[in-house]
Amino acid sequence: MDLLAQGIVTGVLIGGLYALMSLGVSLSWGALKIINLAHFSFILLSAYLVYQLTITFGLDPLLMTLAVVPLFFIFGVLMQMFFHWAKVDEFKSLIVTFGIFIILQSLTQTFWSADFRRIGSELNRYEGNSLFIGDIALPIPSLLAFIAALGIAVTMSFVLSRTYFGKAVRAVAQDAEMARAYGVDPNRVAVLLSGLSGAFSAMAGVFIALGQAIYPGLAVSWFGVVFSVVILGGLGNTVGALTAGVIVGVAAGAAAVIWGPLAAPLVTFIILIAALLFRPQGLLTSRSVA
Amino acid sequence: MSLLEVEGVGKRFGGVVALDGVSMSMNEGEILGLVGPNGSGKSTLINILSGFYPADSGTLRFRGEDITASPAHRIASIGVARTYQIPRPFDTMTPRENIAVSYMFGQSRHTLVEAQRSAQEWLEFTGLADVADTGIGELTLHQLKFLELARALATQPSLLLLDEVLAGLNPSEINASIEMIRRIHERGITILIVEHVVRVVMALSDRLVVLNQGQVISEGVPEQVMTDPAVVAAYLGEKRPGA
Amino acid sequence: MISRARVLLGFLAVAVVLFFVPGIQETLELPRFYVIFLFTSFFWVAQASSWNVLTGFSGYFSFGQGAWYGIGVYTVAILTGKHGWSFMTALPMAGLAALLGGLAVGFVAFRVRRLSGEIFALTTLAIAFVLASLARITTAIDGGTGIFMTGTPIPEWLGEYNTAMYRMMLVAMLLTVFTAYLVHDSRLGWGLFSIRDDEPVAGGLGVPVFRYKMTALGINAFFAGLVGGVWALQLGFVTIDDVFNIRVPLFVILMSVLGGLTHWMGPVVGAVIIYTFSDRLNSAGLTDVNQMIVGTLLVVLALAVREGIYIRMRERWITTLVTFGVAMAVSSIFDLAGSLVTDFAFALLATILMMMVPDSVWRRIRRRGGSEPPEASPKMDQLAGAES
Repeated sequence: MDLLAQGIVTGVLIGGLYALMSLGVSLSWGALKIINLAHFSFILLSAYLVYQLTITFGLDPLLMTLAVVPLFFIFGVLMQMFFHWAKVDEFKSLIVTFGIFIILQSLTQTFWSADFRRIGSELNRYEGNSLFIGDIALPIPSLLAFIAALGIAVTMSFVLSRTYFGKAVRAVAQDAEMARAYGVDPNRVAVLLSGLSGAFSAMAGVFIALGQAIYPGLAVSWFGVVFSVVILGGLGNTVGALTAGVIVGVAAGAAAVIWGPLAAPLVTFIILIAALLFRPQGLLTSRSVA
Repeated sequence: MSLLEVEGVGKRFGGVVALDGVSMSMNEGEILGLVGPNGSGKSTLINILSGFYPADSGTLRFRGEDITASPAHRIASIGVARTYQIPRPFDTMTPRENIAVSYMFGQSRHTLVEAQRSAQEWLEFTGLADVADTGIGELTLHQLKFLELARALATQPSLLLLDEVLAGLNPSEINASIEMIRRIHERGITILIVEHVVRVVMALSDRLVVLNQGQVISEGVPEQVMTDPAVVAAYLGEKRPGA
Repeated sequence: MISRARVLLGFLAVAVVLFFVPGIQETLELPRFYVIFLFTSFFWVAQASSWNVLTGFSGYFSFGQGAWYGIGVYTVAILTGKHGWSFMTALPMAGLAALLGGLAVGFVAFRVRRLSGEIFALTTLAIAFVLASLARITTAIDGGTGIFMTGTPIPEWLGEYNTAMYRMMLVAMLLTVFTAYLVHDSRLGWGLFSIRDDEPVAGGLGVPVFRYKMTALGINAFFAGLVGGVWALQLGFVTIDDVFNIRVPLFVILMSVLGGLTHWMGPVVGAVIIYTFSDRLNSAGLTDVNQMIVGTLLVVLALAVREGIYIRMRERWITTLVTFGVAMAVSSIFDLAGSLVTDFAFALLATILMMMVPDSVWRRIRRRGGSEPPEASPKMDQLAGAES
């Protein structure tokens, strides 16, 4: 019983990480109508950069957030500018972002090889340590990820509903031409949003590097989780992503405890397929972007 | 038996009621005008009649056959065709190919080669023979609308639903379109025409049905209907009909 | 104008020539590698062609090629490796199993109204992973240990093992490409194109949208599985990671996008080009760079060569033939490269570069040098010239 309770708690926290990983794709798809597969490689590359910078400079890996987040914000901006220049439409976006994903992933593999990389406990004081509430352990890396996800989800929700920028984003998501008529520049909104998405993905990469060993093949293994969360949570819905992340995290965690670790990805994908077919608009659509 | 019977049809989109218990009928060979202020439900009704999406309630009968739950291609195969307010041609194909596709899947289910030959007939009928093999991007709005007509006609319908076919055209193009609609009618095709341009609808229609906020508020001969106080109130109360 | 009879003749000619290649290779004592190269090319041509019948023709993007291919490979592996079936009875099962898998996915995914294109794409992405996970967990299928395939017996009348394998792949490939051609030139094909252009309108004109999409998906899955089954013969040891990875789905997308999504010859041309380059890069030891180049190519091609290389080649067919012939001749006469395949790669590269000259520049050059009017759009050929 305790094992199950632990599995659930771990699942909830991991759900925060899943949500963080999914924010980029969710916002892109909801607001920009682009299914951006490149985000998976952003998360991967960010994790590798955190790893590399940490062991090169011997600093606290969490501090590397200050390096990667602005960097990937810029990547996001550049990517959206490229899409705008190349007139990438929804169908092409799948192919083009797939291509970008392949490029960045193989670049990662070329520089760091296919071997597992881990920051190591001398520099990484977070991994393997947990906060204990009674008998239940809250692993620090996923706890931090959960807190970050919570903060970002709530903030973005506020931004999207209360600020001018948020309203502009929602206007553009519904009808870019009409938004333009009201003085909103859809391209600028798109670029900013893409930058934010990149930043969120970079953030996720930080926690990945904190919490586990990394290898290039990881990126592909995230597809199922992220898309489950994105669809279940609703396109562009940040709080929905957090909720969905928790659901997926708990379901996968429980499945791993009951049926073994191999069952987890199966459960994740079954959730995805079910969400796609029965509730493609997500669970909490009222607060989503589109 | 009337050609088309609509009974108590309702449709909502989320919280918005688009159609609320609409009933009407069409007789074989007439031109029926469907008018009403913006948002009265005209396009929704056309979409339901052509099977674009299903009604939430009510029944539809075509020549006595219940088509309430029929999918779009089934409705096309029994002889109902429609045009779209904003033309939607197949843009990787030429006009000739667009019409040929209609022929292949319309009632007579032509083969590839027959379809291409038969397309010629409708190209000439709508005056598009000269641009039959050019790219869609090179056609004017007027030509695109006529292509819509040709493509709909190629399915050999008994009932043709025209959804605001005159929108965006200049006066001389409008006159040409009216002429075209008359010629189509002469071929024995029953026509339901949704239009904002009231003078056109009055001139063309045998009967009018007026919708307002999803309900039928008047129906009958054009002169009678347009002087009906309920109709006048509906139009003046919201927007003036276009001249 | 290309009539059906001529295309059929073309297919037969190609079939006969390729059929006797192993014999020629032995008689002339050429490297066995050429046969293997062709064998693998056939595999990719078939996979890309079958994928394109669904995605290129109907516009419904499928990430699922790996799933159908994987079902095909595993069906043959399990039936022959674990249950001792003969290959010739297992092979049709491979196609059938993949077909059923595809139809199951389509039956559920095609019924959705909103976002049907995106939902289908993601569902196909998910299916491959689900199958891989299932295979890993279920010991009856794989259980993570893999399946041994060495020495699978094939009927005597097929002849020597490797030659038989080659010829079976040849036949499978021809069947696939011929089917793609038949679809392209048929009512089904035109229905699919209209679905791609505007599905609701197509439905409104009488196109049986659901039935056609299922048919295209069925064709895609069946041939992917069948060809996968033949491919399994030379695998020796079948593992989940080897079979259910990103290579097949990625490459078929790339090959079809390069060659052209709208015509049945597109994936054929694309597959030959991509596989040749990929093979040469691998033999030069540049395996890592390989994937990066693939990714870059995908981005560049999706944006630059809109209708695909094949259509360009048809428009500029004289240039194509001349460039290819000259480059091939120069490369082999001066023995610039070691192998005939490398000569071939150079010739392809030269031709592609000529094709990538933008239309505006091209027309200016042509006007100066005397004209070669571009042929009418290939689709028109079928309508105008097809004799049915």
